Amino acid sequence: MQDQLNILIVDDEPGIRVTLAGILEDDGYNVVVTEDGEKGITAAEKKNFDIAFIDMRMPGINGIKTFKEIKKISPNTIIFFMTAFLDEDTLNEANKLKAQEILYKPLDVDLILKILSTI
Amino acid sequence: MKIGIRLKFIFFTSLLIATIGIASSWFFSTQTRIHFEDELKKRGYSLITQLAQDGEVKGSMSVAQKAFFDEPIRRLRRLDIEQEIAYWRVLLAQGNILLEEKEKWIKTEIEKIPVNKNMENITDPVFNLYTTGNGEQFYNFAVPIYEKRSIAEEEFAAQFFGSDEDYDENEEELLGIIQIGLTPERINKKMQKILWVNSIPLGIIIVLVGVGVSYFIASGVVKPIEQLVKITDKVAAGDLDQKVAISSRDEIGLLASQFNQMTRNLKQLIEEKEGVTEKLKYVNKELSSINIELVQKHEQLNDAQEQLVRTEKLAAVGTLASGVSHELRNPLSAIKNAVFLLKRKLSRNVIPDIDEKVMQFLDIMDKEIDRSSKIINDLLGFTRVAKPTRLSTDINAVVNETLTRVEIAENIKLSKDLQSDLPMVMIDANQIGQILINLIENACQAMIDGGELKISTKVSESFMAIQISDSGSGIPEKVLKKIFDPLFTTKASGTGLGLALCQGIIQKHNGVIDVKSQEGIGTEMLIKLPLEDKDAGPA
Repeated sequence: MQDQLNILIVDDEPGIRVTLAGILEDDGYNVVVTEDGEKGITAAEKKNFDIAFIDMRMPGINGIKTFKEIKKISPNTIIFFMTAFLDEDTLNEANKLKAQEILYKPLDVDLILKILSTI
Repeated sequence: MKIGIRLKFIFFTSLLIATIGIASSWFFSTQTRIHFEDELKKRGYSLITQLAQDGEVKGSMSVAQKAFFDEPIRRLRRLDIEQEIAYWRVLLAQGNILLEEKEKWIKTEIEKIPVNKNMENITDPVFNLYTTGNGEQFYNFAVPIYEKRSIAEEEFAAQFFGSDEDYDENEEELLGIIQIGLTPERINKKMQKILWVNSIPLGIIIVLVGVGVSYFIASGVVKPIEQLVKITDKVAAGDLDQKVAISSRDEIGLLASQFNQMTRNLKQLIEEKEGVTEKLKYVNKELSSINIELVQKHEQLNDAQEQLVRTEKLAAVGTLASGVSHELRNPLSAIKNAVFLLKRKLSRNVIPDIDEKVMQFLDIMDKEIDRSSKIINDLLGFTRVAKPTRLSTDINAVVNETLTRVEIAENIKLSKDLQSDLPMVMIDANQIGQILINLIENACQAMIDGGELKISTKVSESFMAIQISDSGSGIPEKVLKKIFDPLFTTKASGTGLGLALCQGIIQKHNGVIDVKSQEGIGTEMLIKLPLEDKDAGPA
């Protein structure tokens, strides 16, 4: 078993955040789930997360802003973007922010687990 | 009937000349007759005067003896050289006829000739013209005979003293009247002779000369006109080089020169017309070539419009497809995660005594999610063909690599004709490979009952040509136009995106994709990729 990595999932889609959290918890990670950016940032303020999965397109504060805020709070957090959209502008911005990876939905769970196991 | 101008001219000129001839002959003969009649009258006066002055006559009258007149009458007849005297008559003062005789050849009875009476106080002879019932004409002369005067001294004295007016002859005693008649028969004969010997031959000569003269005049006028007519005929038949050779200075000459001028003008006009016709032909040619160009432009415009419509359709479909696909990705992702977790839990035997089918069905779900995901990716790929990453590539290698990835049924014979030593092309091998897979699959689907699949590569002009042809069912002409349209499909399970995606990728490579198909014979897809493309850099 790996060390207990703290993982934050920020997604407005309940199906995604619940199933992804379920898989990760099943794999032994400590997972916190929030339904929007604001709550995600609040969670990051309370707890230090090693890893964060942030949906790029959300109502309210979007993925990019959420990323920036969390990075301000805990610069060492490794952040994965999740998206169902191929929006070049957003992707470019995400690349500039040096996100770990951009994960396209439907998510390749095997790949995610592999990546996590190397951290 | 057509009467020529020559005949008309001759006829009217002859008529004119004849009329003038007849009129002048009439005038001439009338004058001659008047002259003859005057002469006859003069002769009559002369004869009767001589008779009146014949002393023997006076003597005979005073004694009233008929026989005494024989000698004077004989003398009278001797004087009548022309034998014109027709009759003679001696009338006594008392009114008795002493003597009356006529020439035997005179038909009229002497008694029917009127007697001259009541000639008192007349000294000179009297003239009358008698025409008898049978048509005979007589110039009748009568003179009174007075008794011979004895007082010659008195007469002399009267003349000497100038009192001639006082001298009165009435005082003389009338002895009787002598009457003679002259016949104009001789004049008539003379006139007839003149008519037959002079007038008629002269008239004939005049008419003949008139006809001759008018013939020559007519010839002079008509000949050039006939020449003009001949030339006019030739000109009318199209020979505009004809010229009338008349150089006279009269109206005919003027007509001829003006006719020649007219012919020249006509020729010039016709030449101008021919020039204009030539020009028109040229203009017409140009117009038809412009027309051909116009038709071509029109076709190009139509193609461009079709392209535009397709592009608009693509854009609309793209917007819709992209919206729907993205929205589907989240639920698919959630389902996929759920299936993943369930499968993992089951594989760890967390739940005992589980039916085999649960695992099997979860596998089906996983596969179907992947398939749905692929459809969405296709849709997104079509709406947004990523800019190709073009690298210098050997097209034959791409073809061969593609062929390892597709399953070709056993009843399909594959024949490759890949030209060796082909130049490298700047392409995105993944995208082109995707197209080839798509096209090969389509070809195989068209040959369910078997057939031949041909794949060839070659350089054609400035393009790399990749041809994929099948001997399948072919595509109906109606369908052929629409096969590149997005969402158009004839397959029961097709999305109608495959060929639209192919076309999108080829267009991103600045190439073209063409299709030729004949029902029952097969279909031929031709991809042309530019060998040198400034968007791609040197190959």
